[in-house]
Amino acid sequence: MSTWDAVWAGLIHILEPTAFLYMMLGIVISSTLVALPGIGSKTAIALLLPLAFTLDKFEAICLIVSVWAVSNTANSITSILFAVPGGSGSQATILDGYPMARNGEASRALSAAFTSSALGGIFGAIVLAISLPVLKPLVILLGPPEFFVLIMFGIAMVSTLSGKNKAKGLVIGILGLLISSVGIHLVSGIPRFTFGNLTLMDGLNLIPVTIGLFAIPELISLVASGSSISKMELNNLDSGRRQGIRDSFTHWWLVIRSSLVGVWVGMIPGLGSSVADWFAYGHARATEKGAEETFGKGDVRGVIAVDSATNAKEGGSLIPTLAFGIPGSSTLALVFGGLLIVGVKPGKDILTTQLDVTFSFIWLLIIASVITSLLCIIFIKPLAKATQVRPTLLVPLICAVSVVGAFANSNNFGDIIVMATFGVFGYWLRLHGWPRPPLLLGLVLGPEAERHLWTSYQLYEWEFVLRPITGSLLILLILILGWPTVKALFAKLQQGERV
Amino acid sequence: MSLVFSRTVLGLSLLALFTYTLLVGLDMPFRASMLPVLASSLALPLTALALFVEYKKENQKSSQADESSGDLAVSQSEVSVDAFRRVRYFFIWFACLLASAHLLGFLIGLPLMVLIYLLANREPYRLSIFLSFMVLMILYWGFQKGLVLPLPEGVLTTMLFGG
Repeated sequence: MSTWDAVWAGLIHILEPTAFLYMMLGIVISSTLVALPGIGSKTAIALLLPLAFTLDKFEAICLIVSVWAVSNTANSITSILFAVPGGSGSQATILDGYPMARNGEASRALSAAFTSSALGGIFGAIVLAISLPVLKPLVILLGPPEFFVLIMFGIAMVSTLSGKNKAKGLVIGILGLLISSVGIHLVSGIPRFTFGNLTLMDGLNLIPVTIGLFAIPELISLVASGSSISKMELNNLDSGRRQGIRDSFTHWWLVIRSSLVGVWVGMIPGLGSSVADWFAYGHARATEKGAEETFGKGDVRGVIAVDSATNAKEGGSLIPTLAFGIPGSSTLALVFGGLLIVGVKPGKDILTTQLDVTFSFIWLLIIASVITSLLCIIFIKPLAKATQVRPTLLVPLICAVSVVGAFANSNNFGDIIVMATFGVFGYWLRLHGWPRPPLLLGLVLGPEAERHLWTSYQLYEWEFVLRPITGSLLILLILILGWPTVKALFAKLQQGERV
Repeated sequence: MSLVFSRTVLGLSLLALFTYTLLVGLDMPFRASMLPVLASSLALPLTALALFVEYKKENQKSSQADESSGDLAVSQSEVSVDAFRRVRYFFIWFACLLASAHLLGFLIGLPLMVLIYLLANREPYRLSIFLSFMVLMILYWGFQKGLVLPLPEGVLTTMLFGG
């Protein structure tokens, strides 16, 4: 299949009526759930995964990818209206969005945020498309040892960047790898960590673990906090929409630069939305005329920079995911797991024989971003009202759906027990600041890591770690992990000399 | 159970878990043991390091709000006495939800427990009934009929009324 054929086929796949319908369903559900208090994009994806598995490949891709691709757009609503970040990627939006809302420009700020989100999403998708010809030969060059170390690199990056205590992230990532080894070992037929339990013989399924780790702790957190995020009046939502849209196009150069920042952050596994928004905000503040005086007081450029970067990040994060099978973020790890189960395997195939699948991702990023932004602009008021839904209404409904979702995976009540166990464990981890995303990444990448580890050992024994690329990656990894400790030691030594 | 005690139990449980997986892994054939042994041997010193760092920073209270990418931090309102009381009630309700799904079946057990939760939280009577009915409709039309998912009958209802 030539590249142009793949571009065309990718578009046709997602414009099929049923696939398009599932994309729309994904957009509506994602935007609504993300706007609800305490329900993040990971919860939305976790709840929708059971449905995706009943669909055909492209319908499932449309549902899963659209839920993920647009999850950063509706996040801005709570940030701008109530100064409460709707997600990790919308924290910097508060700095200028909330002052704008207080100045009576809520609608302008929201429209600017939604429009720049769409533009950022399109930019990220274009960069992804342009990078494909470069990635293809690179991926073909890599063998099992390189892929094994790349997987370890991905888990370590997500782990180290997911909290202040880096060792905690690494431990949880390794725990994910160990959990992936539960069940009968396919090659040797040895049962591993099953305790003779039939449910565990098949291994732990991704869906109940995901729902348990991400949906249940968020619900517990909602119960614990005990109130909706705001009881504020929703004013100033009627005028200023056109101005907001115009602002995004007037500052097109800022949109492009911020999107580039977003793509760059997305390409590095582990750096998530929470980093992209601050980088983009810092960049805009440092480079825009008069920003020092106006930023933080309600400058629309602050909103535009952040929202274009957080959405462009998604295109960038697909680059390591599709090419090397390393999800660029924890949410993408969930998407990645879902795609694996519906038969989409990142790596060589997706860049060669299944190029149409890759282009369907790119088209989805573009089309879903535009449609979501339009819908958000049109339905600003109902979405803003959704943020005020009482947790007491949400919790039992989502719990009921979670139970059915966990069961739907394999029609096994044991999976509900797995979900509940991981729910309690996830809450425990969250309570004590142990990050949960690395566990999921380890669980998803575990089987691939084990396969590559065994093949590498068979080919080169333990000397595979000395191969040029694997060795370089390992050294880089050690430097990244060890650098903060070395820096702290140097600082202590210097302090000691001064004393 | 205090937070410090809970944190200690979590850390020690992880240490015990990794020790167990290492010991069990060593007894497995080489091919099956490669990943578990490698992972456990890395995890043990790292867990010890993580616990050491945590106890060193204990006075700074930083571990409570460990901001992370994509993993939102725990707010102070979530670790108050009132919050833990609400969480305790939630756990009891959640256990009942699972038990009723098993005993009464999904179609009766889940809507019933949703109704109980809503009424216990003083939601309006009509709204509670409406939402519980909606759950029943979603389960029946969405999952059982739409997705052709055979929702299980309850153990108790099957015993009393037959399959």
